[in-house]
Amino acid sequence: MRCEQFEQRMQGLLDRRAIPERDSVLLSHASRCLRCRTLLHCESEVADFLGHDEEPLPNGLTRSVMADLGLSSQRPRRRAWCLGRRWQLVAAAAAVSLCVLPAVFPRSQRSRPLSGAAHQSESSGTPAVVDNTVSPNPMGDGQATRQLVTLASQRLERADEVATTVAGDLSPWARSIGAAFAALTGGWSSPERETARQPRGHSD
Amino acid sequence: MITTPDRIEIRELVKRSLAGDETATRMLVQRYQDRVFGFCLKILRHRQDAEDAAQETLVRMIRSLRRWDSTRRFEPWLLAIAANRCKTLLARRAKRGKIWPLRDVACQRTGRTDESVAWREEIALGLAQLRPEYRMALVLFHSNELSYAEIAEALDCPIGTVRVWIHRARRQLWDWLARREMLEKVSHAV
Repeated sequence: MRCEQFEQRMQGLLDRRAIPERDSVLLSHASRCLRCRTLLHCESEVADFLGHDEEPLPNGLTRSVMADLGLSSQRPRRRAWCLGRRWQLVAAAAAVSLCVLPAVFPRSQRSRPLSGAAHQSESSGTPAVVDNTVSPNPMGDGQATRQLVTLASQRLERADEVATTVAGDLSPWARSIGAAFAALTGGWSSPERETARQPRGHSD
Repeated sequence: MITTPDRIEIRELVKRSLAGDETATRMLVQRYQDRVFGFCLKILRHRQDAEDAAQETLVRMIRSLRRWDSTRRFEPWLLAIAANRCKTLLARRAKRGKIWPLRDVACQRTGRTDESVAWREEIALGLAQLRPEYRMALVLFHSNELSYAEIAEALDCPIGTVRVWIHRARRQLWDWLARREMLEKVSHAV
């Protein structure tokens, strides 16, 4: 037997789940060939390695699986990749909310005063809004709901006032910047320039 | 078809689990968790990843019990799920460029001799160098004792390919050990 045949025979025996160390033909050749003898020993070590599981099972694997399946009250074991993925999801949800909220609640709606007649509550002295769109609280007389709505509308109105003031303060700056830009480009016309361009024939 | 008592019991367990019996589900998980975890660990060579893969495999096993063909063996079907999970994790790892752990930690706990520990470490490293499909085929054949036909089904490839993969895996493992001078060490000892 040659060394190539030795290896082929060994592969064949392993395929049939036979033990090569018990094959007389192989043993006969191995007794005369150092290389094939070492190959036989090597295969025995590999088979030993693959045939035994020495690593202990992780603690609570069954419990984690049952929890994942919703069959246990315990929380599932946190996986290595879960933490990053969870934060990614939170960040994505926050980003989507920031994009969607202004579209759902546009500024014009937020600053619009509530329709309906507002009057001062006679009994408590707190301002109240009587609005057809505000239904009374089914749990009570609707007083708390009305107060909340009133407070919210007051806050929104105040925010609107602040925004208007800020915009008013900034408008001269904006006009100046616009004029400077027009001077540079020569194509922009300010209201003052429009007035100046009025046909002379109309003036006295 | 061979009807063994083991398979009858599996069928019964699956039937009960599908009917909503929590005890049967738990028994199924407990029965296969060591084989699934052992397979994942041999393929992934990383304990944390193997735990994740085993847990996902067992969850998928229970969730897709209806898809199991009861005329066939249960274990190859289950190990096919495990193999797919391992492939996914290996692909993810390849993208991240994760490094293989260098030591086979299990050897150090078992009170083996230095020589035996060295052998096991070298074999573990050699296995890690193999192509994933070679490694899976070799582990399924030698560790999980699946037939070539069952491995072909689990890995979704022809039987001839499985045979080639296993032969190449053995040959490359022997070559690896020779390059790492393990064979020479044995030669001297002999």
